[in-house]
Amino acid sequence: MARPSILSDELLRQLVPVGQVDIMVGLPTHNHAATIGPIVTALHAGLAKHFPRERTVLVNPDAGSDDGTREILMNAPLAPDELRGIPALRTTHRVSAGNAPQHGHTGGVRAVFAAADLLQAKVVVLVDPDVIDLHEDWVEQVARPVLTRQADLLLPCHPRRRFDGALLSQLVRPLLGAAFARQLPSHVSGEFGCSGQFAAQRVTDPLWEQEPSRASMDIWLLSTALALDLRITEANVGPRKFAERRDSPGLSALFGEIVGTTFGCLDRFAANWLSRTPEVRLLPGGPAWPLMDDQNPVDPVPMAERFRSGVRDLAPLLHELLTPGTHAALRETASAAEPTPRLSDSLWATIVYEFAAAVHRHLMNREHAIQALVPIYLGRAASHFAEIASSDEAEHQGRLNSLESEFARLRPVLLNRWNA
Amino acid sequence: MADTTAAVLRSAWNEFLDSILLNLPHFLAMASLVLAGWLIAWLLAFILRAVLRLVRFDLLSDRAGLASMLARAGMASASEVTASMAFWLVWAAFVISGLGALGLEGTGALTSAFVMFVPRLGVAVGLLLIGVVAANFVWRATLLAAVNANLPSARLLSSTARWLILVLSAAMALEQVGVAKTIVLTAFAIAFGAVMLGVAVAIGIGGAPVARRLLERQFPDKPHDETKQSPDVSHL
Repeated sequence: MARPSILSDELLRQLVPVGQVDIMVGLPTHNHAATIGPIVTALHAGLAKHFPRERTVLVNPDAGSDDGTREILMNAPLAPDELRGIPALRTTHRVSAGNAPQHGHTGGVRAVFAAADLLQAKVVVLVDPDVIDLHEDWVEQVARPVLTRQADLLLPCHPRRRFDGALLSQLVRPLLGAAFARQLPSHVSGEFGCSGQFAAQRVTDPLWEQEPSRASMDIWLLSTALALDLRITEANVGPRKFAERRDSPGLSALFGEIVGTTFGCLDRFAANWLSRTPEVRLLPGGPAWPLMDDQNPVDPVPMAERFRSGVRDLAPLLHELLTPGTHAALRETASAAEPTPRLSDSLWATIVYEFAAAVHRHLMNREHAIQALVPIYLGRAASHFAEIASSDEAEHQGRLNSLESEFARLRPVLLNRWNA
Repeated sequence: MADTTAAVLRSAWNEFLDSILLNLPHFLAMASLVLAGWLIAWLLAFILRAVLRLVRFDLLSDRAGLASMLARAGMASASEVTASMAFWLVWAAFVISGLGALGLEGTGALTSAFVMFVPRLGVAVGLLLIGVVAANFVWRATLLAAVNANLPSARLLSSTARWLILVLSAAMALEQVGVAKTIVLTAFAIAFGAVMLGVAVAIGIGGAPVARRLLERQFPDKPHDETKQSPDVSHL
């Protein structure tokens, strides 16, 4: 049942005439005039080409754009193929309405979910309004597996630089994967396809009241799907280009959001993962780690220096958060002579587990505990960057798989510390 | 002569015995108050200690940074200190009431002074506790922010913040209990002013380039994205 208060009157008025739909494409915007036109055209082209018989709607909750985003969106031409005479069998619906600006992107996502609930959509697809090279097959790649019930949640992945996404590959994925005993998709990018039922059930979740950031919302949706033991998969959608995001937070803030949400999800869904057997269920087809050509290698030494100074300066806090053995091993690693100290998979997994348990047990103020992990993460990222500097795609994937295996092997450490 | 001496002695002894007989109930009343007070205070401290252990007060004080400060001062755990304070406070109230029962001149004023002092002592202890908790919170927050912003001398910065708050709360507590009020306030004002002046002079004369670098880093011309260790790295 949709909650009218989540949908603005303007949006509700436009949605009601649309009626039931099979596929709803959500496109929350805020001053995206530069990118929105080609996205809308590509989406309608994809829907007309791949889903001519399905009832579709494009829903745009706009958080108060003042650059003409909504006008551009509503006036964007339909796909060239349609104009050349390939008739759509269904009416092309396009809905755009103002949404509460203070709720930002995630408020828009919630409105899309509420709209999906109202129109009883079978599939909800969320598009990133910052993408600048959306191709018309993208919507098919994301929506089809959900429509054919092969997946409840589909996360698209695309080639990235080998040094990108370390926070996900080194911390979020292995931690959530080991806890829930599931192999996870490689990317969490702000775009996804999910069943209408999954979207509708999320509308009243209390997390919305905390006004999560875009990245936190993705982690939360993934964790919810893991907790509900839904079918999760990923699709390689090919290269993507994004306009530079205007609201990129610094590392500390980003780390606080992402790791805070991840630890929060572990807490919230503890009953779901604590009882799971340690055998990891693999992702259908395995996770893909498509890589772009790297022209600019990253120098890990500055990160390693911050790791060293952080471990030294934060010693009194780390003493409270880590077990004595882990803290001693960490100090030994930080005091190694080489320019980039090697923070091993097993030590890193143990540290992450002990931090997650410390946050769960309220050993310290939550934000403080999470911020104390930042320098250690930088050490791990530096160590990882040094290892993969000259690796090919297979070696890179091997390293990530090896880290996940180590997290899975050490899962008893998490259980032990969690229940201590 | 002998008769006179005997009469004086008899009279003195009679007066002494009369006075003993007159004051004995007062002494007994005082003794019973002191003894009963000790028992009540001991019982109260015992119950308080048990309740504090039940609510894991030591763990809370440990997280608030109180336990480490007490340990540094060579004192027992926070629950033990709280229970001891309750014991001494309650027993002192009974002892003063016992002195009042003697009917001695001035004990009434002593009792009323004690009654007036107890709330002030409570406020002073509360101020100290809040000061310790706030000082440790600020210390941690400053340390983490400084380390994660890669500022130099993160520990010095955070320790300075902690000690300033501790000294401020100690001065407020002492002012509350009225201990050397003028001296404490004057000493605090002089010490605080000296520290601030020292910092200003140090930055103005010796640390101008450092201050400039820090300010430039804090308020860059172009927004600085610290997620990017090199031009193209994204942690997410």
